[in-house]
Amino acid sequence: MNRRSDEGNITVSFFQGMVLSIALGHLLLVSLGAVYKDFPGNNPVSAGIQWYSKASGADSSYGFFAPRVGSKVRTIFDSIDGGGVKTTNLRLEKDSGREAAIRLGGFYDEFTSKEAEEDPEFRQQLGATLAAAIFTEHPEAVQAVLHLEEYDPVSMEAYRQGERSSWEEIYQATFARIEEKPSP
Amino acid sequence: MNHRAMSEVSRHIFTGRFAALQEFCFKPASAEPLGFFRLGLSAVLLLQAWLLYPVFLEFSSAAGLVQREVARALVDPSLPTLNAAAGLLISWGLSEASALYFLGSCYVLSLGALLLGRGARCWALLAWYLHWCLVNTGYSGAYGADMYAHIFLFYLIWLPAGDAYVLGRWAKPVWSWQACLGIRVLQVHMGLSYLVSGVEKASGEMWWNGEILWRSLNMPGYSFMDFHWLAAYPLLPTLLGLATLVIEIGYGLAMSYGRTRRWWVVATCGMHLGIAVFLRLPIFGLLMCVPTLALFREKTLQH
Repeated sequence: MNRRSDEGNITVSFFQGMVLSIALGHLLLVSLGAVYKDFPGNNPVSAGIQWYSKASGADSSYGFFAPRVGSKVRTIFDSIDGGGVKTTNLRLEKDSGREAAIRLGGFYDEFTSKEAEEDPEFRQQLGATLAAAIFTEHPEAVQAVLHLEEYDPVSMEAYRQGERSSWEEIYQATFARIEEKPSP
Repeated sequence: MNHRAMSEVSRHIFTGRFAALQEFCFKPASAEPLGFFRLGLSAVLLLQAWLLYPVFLEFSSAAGLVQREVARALVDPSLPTLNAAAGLLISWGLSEASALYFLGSCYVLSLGALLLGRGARCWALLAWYLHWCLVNTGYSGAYGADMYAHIFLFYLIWLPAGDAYVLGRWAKPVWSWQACLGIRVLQVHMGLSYLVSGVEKASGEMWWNGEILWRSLNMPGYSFMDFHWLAAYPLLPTLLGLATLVIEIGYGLAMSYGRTRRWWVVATCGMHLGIAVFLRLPIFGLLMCVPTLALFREKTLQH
């Protein structure tokens, strides 16, 4: 409990001093996280502090819509059944609301991440997981063709001069259903 | 001025500043802002849980949209998930879906209890842990709203947010130095996050010429109507972009002064509500109004 001294000032107890020190340490970690820095060091104490930063969210950065807004990515699938009949324009987005769409959009963005750009196999794995969802929804399909499309809005100046934005295909991959053999 | 007089002056300045710092951090304050913060946060997160309920399994189960192997590659392996707890429930005979629904229900229950306020710290601990696990289980596609929710729930474990607006003793907030320090830490955190966010935005040309709003509002999936007409009035998105920079960079400073505080609360909440409506980010927009409304009202600053 803090007390008032004779002059009317608040005196700070040892416990309060400790709590304030912890709070200041926490805010220091928040500052480091805000500028994309990890707590330095490669020893158990540093590892513990780094884990605390994750647990408390102090490692977060705050660059929303900064410094720019990139392009938007979406996927469209074609499915082909055993008879060769093609169904086009299949989407994974359902009418499940904006919160779900934001999350799915976050997954689509992984296709254009640095890791996916550098590792075609990883990009293919991302596509395969979505193709599996298409196969589940369309049991008749034996093949699914993924079209990854990007939308990059033109500038205001370009728009005034008549340019228009559109979805451009940036990646395509075909996935085949693998039939599970019945166990003997 | 001789040496003795100078040291006397500096002693007065130092002790005066130290006293001000002591008062800033430890002068007993009402827990009412923290209670309001708890109410707002849990209400918004309950709304988010309700909105995500229909697609919960699509994002969290092994049979969902993102296969577990791929999800593992996208999530930090050192972070906790619900897999162990779900695995235990599955070993007791539950299906994966039932186990995940049970754990999701525990999260919703903890938020409901947090809203009511009794035993707030314990419920905050449970809500924080389950929220963290849910975000790392499967592929959650966590974004800004989840990040702030994680930060705010962690604070609620430590702050006396259950000392106000509690069922049964609604109108009797407790006064304590812990409430004062907690409010100050949250205020500094918010000021810092807005400052960094604003400076990072200002480093990009798009925030100075209106292109950022033009692009965001015309990005498919974001806008609820056609905003291409903005190209004919470039001054409007330019001014809105500049206003965002001013609000965010000036947040900490403007909230420190009584004359500007009220205007900044209105401007900041207006900005977030604008994001909620025009960029169709209602959870993020509402969530970000909560700390500003809770921590910077006139009542909050009165000891």
